[in-house]
Amino acid sequence: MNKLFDKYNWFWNLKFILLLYLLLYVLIIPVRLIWESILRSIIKQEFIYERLIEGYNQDIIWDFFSNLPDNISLLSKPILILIGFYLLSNVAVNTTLIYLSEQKRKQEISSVIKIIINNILNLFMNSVFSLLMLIFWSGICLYIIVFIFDQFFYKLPSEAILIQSAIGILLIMLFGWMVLMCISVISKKLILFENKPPIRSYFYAIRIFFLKIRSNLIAIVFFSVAHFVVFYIYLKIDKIYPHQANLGFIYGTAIVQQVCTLSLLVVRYLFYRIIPH
Amino acid sequence: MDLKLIFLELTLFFWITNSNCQDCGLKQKEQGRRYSYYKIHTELNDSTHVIRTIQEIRFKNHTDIPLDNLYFYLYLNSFKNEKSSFLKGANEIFGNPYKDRSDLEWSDLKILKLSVVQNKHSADVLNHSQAVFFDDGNKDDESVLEVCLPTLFLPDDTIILKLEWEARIPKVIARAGYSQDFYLFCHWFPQLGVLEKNTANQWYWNCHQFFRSTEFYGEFSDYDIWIKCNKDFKLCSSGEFIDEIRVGNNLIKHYRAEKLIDFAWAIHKNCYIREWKWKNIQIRLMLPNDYREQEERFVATINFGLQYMSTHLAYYPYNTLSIVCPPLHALRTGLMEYPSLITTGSIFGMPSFIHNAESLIMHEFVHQYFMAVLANNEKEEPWMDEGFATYYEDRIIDALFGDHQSLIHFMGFKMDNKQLTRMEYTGMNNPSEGIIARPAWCFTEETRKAMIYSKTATIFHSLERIIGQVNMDTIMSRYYQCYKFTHPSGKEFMQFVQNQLYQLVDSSKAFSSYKFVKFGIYNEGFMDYTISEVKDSAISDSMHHYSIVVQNKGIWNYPLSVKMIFEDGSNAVEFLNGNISQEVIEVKSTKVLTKLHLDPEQLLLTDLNLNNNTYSIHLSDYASLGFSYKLQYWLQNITHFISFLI
Repeated sequence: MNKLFDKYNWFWNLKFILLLYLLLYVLIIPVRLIWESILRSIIKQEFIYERLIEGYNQDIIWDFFSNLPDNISLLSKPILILIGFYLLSNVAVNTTLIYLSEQKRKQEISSVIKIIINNILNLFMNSVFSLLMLIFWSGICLYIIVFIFDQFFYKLPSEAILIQSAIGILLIMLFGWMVLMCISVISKKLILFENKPPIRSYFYAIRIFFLKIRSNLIAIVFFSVAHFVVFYIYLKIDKIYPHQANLGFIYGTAIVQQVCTLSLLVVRYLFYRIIPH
Repeated sequence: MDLKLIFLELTLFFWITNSNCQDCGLKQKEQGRRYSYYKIHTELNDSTHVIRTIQEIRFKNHTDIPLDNLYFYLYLNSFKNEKSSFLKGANEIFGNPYKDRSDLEWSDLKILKLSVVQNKHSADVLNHSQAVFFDDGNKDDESVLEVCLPTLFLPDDTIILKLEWEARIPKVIARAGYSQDFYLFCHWFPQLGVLEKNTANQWYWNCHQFFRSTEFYGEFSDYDIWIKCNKDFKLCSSGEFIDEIRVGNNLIKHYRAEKLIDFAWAIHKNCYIREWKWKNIQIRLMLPNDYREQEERFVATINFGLQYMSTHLAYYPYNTLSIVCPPLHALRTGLMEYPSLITTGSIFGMPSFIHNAESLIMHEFVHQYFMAVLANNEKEEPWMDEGFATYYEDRIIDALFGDHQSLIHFMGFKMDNKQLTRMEYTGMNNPSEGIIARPAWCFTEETRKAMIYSKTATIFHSLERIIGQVNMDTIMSRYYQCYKFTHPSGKEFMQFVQNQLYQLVDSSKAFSSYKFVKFGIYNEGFMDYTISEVKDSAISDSMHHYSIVVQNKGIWNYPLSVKMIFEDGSNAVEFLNGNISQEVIEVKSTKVLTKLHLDPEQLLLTDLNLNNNTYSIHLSDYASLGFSYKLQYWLQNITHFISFLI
């Protein structure tokens, strides 16, 4: 935890995070603009937004989605390609944040980009492997849930124990995700700073995770609490609707949304700083 | 008090009573008549799942013709094998596979003795009985039994049928059956069909075979039932508990019931029973031990439902009400209605922000009125009970937990019962597919619920909005009073509604609202009103001439209003005939028109798309902008999270 507060060029790094955020924001704008034009073509002259401001109304949402024209989809092929690209950019930005979290001195942007590009293949392979591990772990957990229901549902006098077990397993699965996330971060640090190969770094990372389990658990707790707080604040702000439809309000909400997104990026950066390698 | 006023009130009272009686016709004379009495002694062997029963039926020929045969329902035979009409062609029942079972898990009903006492002469008629299958010609179906009588059974005569039978109870497939230590017995004994007149005014036995999509149709009868089973079982049943005696490890419980179309009972070991009284009604709730934390939710919902129905329709018709919540593994016995006994369903740890269990229990509870007392033919006209049960279920749950949030209210997402019902109808692949007023076996699994339950209920929600809740309540409570403890048909109901509408609302509204309901029930077609175009051909700088084009994409229609909102905030209303596919409204105004709203009070919930009833003269950017920002935000979060994980 002390690592968070050691000698560090905070201001410069925050500026870099802001830059990364803006990069991601620019990349998402085309998706939003396409969505906006699609929505405009569907909604046309209906005034549903004003009616929603009076409060959430399932009739409005249902009628909207159940009457989408056949030739229009909110997830058309071009949008999916853009989202895919956006996801890859996110992975790259994530890796940049990991690199940045270990730098104590001001970095040249070009040198940061150069290092990331030099390691891009290894980092990509590592991400794919991390994804496979995540799927494998989730698969095991879900299989156990399905298995116990399939085997015991009609044999036990009550479903209580099964539901409690399923909730327990889901919680373990979520905790496992956090652990795998830490391992993924550690392994990326090993690739970036110790030139470890992409797959082997993952197994080294597992060892390191358990060797420094205390710091890692603190990081997980910090991450979970911080995310919860940001999410909670967003929901609270989102609920405060002024009872009118105007552009000022819509842009105001959009700004709140982006502040939350940026906050999560900062949370992520701090999380990476706590995780040792 | 002024004598003139008293005279006026009395005149009004007699006029209303008299006009109601005219609507009731002969039905009121038939109310509560019973022609059969069942005396049953049954004993359950839990280890073999077999019940052995001695049954006596007294039956009076209430027709004006002599009878030479009788028809019985044998529901348990629907689960004798895969070839029954109920199971034929189905790999799953209610989404669950059922075929993987041993021989001992299928049902097996054997009538060991069957004799008839007619004119003091007893005759064995076992060899004169046979399964009949007039509905589908399936020779392997044994769900209906015909018994030929040795001599003619004359009008007003009474016969006594004596049966001895045993049945292996099936591991539950649908409704009746067992699952572990839970048993449900419904339609479990040989029960007479309904002897009634057909449309050609001829007496006949209405006793259809059982199909997957059909429920029940029985005659009002009286019952004395003795049930013998292990003392460890808790028991809930239709009717009133009379007494019990203990014989070794068994208990024999005696129940009596009057004016019921069926007698059901359930037993369970791993459960407890909560008993309480609502006014003079004795209520028993059977809950699995693990559902204890939901007990108060059930109790509060039932009490509210009883009060609501008493206020808006009629006082609960029986002295007792049993509510059986089966354990989840026996859910296939749940969610069904029997007279004075309902089965419901829940799950361990049901979150308090979801009121699904309450909604289900209310649906089955309302069936006590629509099916048990207003005993329509559930097989031939299922919309009459399921539609009304859904309609009142929506009303009760929305009244209990609030509009727009009664069913679920969680993290900003909320929905009420009425909305779910409408969604089930408007979400159909083809909302104009088929008509509602058809026998249950004519519906596919995909359309059955959406049409019978949801479309019907949505029609009546709309009617309620059109004529007002007070008038709606008046019609329904008069309908109940006229037809209680009889078998009303759809035709009778529609005739009754038509007469009532003309009494309660102006003739124009009565005409159009009746036409609206009749079309919805008896015709194919949908309604989707929309404002397709608004043109402003300005006469001068200060005078506008608006041409508003209103379209109905379907053929189902109703007169509706258009609210016009002007720039200065004022508004005006125009009325449309609504019965042609396109109408143009011409409006001349010095004010600038900004918005239009068709059917602004949303009377017509049957309209497939309520969003296109609104029209903003200027293209509305708010919605597209607001929604796209929201979508963008959630996409950002999801992708960030995924990238974070890997």
